[in-house]
Amino acid sequence: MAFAEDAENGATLVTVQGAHTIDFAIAVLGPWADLNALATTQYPEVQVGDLAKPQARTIPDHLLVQARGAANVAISIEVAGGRPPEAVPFRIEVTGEDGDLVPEGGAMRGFQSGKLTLSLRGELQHVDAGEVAAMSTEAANVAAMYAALRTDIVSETSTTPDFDHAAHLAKLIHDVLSSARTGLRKKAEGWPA
Amino acid sequence: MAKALGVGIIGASAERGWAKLAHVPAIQQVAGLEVAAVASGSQAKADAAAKAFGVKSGYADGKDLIHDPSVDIVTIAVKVPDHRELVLAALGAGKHIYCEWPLGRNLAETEELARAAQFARFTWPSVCRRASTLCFCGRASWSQKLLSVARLALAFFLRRSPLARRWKQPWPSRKTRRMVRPL
Repeated sequence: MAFAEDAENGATLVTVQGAHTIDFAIAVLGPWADLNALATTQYPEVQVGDLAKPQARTIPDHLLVQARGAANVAISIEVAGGRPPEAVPFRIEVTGEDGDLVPEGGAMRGFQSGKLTLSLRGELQHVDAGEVAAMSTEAANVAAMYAALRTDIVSETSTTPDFDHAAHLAKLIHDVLSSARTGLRKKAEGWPA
Repeated sequence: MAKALGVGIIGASAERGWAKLAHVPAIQQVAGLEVAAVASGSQAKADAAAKAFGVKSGYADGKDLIHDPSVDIVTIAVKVPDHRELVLAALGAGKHIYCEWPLGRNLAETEELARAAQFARFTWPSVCRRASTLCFCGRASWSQKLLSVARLALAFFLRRSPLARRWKQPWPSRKTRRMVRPL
């Protein structure tokens, strides 16, 4: 997709798949204290558009992030682009003193456009997805979002992520790119809580 | 149940795309919501999308959709560089917004839109009880339930770890822990 090959458009591997992945890690494990990042281009020439014309890639297609969470927890994240659509696994391993907790999934557009499963100590857990359980892989998470938004509107609650959260996540991604550029470690400032 | 909330999708195509694949079936299957209008790049495309999805109104211009009185929630599913103008128009009209991530092209634009949302919330409190429900497809773009189960399970089995002691969330109650135990 030619559109995603131009950083000016705001939708690249780092800002889309990278941001969703980091946001997931923060949602599950809590806020980060600091990070450093390595963003590289592993496939320097790509074929894009209907004519599959070869062109030089100008955006990073691979992201590594090391972060420190609450209480010195070490977090390591890899987001790899340039993979065939059928080989896009998503896996997070959380290692605790009593065992591993593993959310797993993966979809062509990124894990956020697919369904996830959850394993605890190697055993698949049953998770009741409620009203979105029967929906298609692509529609399920979007439907969960709409259901939450509907409930927020009707019940005057505030559970859906708002624009302030978007700004905090954008700041973190800004710092990821800055760290990748300079090699310097970035401390949390204005990142999602 | 009260009247369904109308969702207007900007960036809906009858032929392909994320709106067709995800937004339309999601809205159609979530109780209390209905697709009220669609907007696409031209009137012909908008009419084709309206017909394909069984919707009354198709607009060539997203701003006309935003001002359609049957639209309560504006879904913005177009390319990122086009988000800003539509988000500002929808905020100005006091509508709820579901905007695909990324919200803006860069940090400055995202912060500008967040400030605009705060301003809308402040300016239109009577119109915008809704203002707290501005959202984007980021954090919640996976099953909320799976997330909450994951959190509870983590809080439970990491209960003696330093992480748990520094856990920012309120500690699960005894009742909640019982719910988690079968994991």
